[in-house]
Amino acid sequence: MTSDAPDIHTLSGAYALDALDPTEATAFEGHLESCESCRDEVRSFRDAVGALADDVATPAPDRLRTSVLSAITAVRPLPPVVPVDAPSAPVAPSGVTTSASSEAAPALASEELATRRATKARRAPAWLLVAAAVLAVVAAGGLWRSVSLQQQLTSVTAMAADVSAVITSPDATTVSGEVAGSGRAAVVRSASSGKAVLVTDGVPAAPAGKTYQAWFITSDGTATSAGLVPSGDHTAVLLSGSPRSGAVVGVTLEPAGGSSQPTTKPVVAIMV
Amino acid sequence: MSMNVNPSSPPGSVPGGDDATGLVALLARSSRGEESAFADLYDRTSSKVYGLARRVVRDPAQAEEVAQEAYLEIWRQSARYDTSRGSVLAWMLTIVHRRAVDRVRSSEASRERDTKFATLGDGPDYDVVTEAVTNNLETARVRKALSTLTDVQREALTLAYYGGYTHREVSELLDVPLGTIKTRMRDGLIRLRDTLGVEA
Ligand SMILES: [Zn+2]
Repeated sequence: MTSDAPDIHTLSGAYALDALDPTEATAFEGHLESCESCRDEVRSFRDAVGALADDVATPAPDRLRTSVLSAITAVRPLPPVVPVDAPSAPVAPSGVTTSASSEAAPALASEELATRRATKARRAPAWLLVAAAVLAVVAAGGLWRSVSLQQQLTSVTAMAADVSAVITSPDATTVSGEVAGSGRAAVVRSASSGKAVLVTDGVPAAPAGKTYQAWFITSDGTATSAGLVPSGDHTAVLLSGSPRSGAVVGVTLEPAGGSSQPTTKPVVAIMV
Repeated sequence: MSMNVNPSSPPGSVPGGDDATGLVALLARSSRGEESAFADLYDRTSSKVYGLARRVVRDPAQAEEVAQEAYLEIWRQSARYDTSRGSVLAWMLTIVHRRAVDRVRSSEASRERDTKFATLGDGPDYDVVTEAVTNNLETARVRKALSTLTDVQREALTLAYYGGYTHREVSELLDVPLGTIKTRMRDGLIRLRDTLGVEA
């Protein structure tokens, strides 16, 4: 028996078990935006599968406790809302200010799509400003020492001036989207300078031997490389080239070093 | 089990019972940067977090990494937890599970597994998985709840949740059509939820 067009509501179970493919998960998250009963169902399923976790409980090694508690001392919890007061770097740019109340952040990024998936936002989402703040801190000399991110952020540091020039430009517009699997991405574009920055948050590191690569994709499907995207929890990278309004910025996983054309499906596609 | 790590979960509680365990308050204090509150939160949850990571990724060293990454994410995101989206514990375990699943799906181990998987054909691999899982289920309550499921429901749930398999892989492993697997996962969770008394 084939089931080529199953009722999308039936995916709630597989979704709650993290058993969907990334593209399906993204599609289902789109559905969750508009389906309250699936949202409720997923929440109740999560509580139920939590009981399954109860029953595989295993005492953790003592060194894990030591290592977690030492690592958190070097990481600042994200604020529930902006503004962020980062030292010595432009963080809350005039073109992308945000108001405090509306961005109470998601319990889980990927479930919180509703209002924000690929919507053109005049105000930057809080997490974007937070990402910018993190970059500012990194650029200013770094609190992230104990975490393995530091390495990955090295190239970001070098780009920080270019990046902040775009993010802080008065005509900056921001469009964000969910990344398949987990995390979010946003493109900040300044029409006057023609430059664009890709910011990511919570995107898992690329597997060994792979890299994320950004593309400008035109409506006829032509893809032009916009450069490699560093892995890491919070990254921002100046895209090479100038996306025209209406172009799509896509990110794919490619073999290390990048490809001349995309070889996999985009994990995120954002129309700028 | 002796009286170590887990003083806070009364027997028979479902993860919805945050109030009894104070997890909500601990998380709120963590979000204000109180490291001691996070240490308490860690002590009350680490055996579940680590146990789940261990169950999914198998390798103890990788399980530690996954648990560490998950705790850092929980710390960072602590201000963004929203009670309307479920219990603190369920929220935390979702973060852990996603990271564990990402790890097995993207790692070398997973490529090896996939190769093995392809060559195994319709081998008895899943029996081993589910049996191991079943043997490790420690409370009668969950065993009982699982026993109310049909075989396919139970196997689909355990392969996905503990094994980190996608629904396509589960469909292959059980030799059951994909559409049926999706439905069984949902049916199974509904029954599990209702048997465990989680509020719908
Ligand atoms: Zn629905």
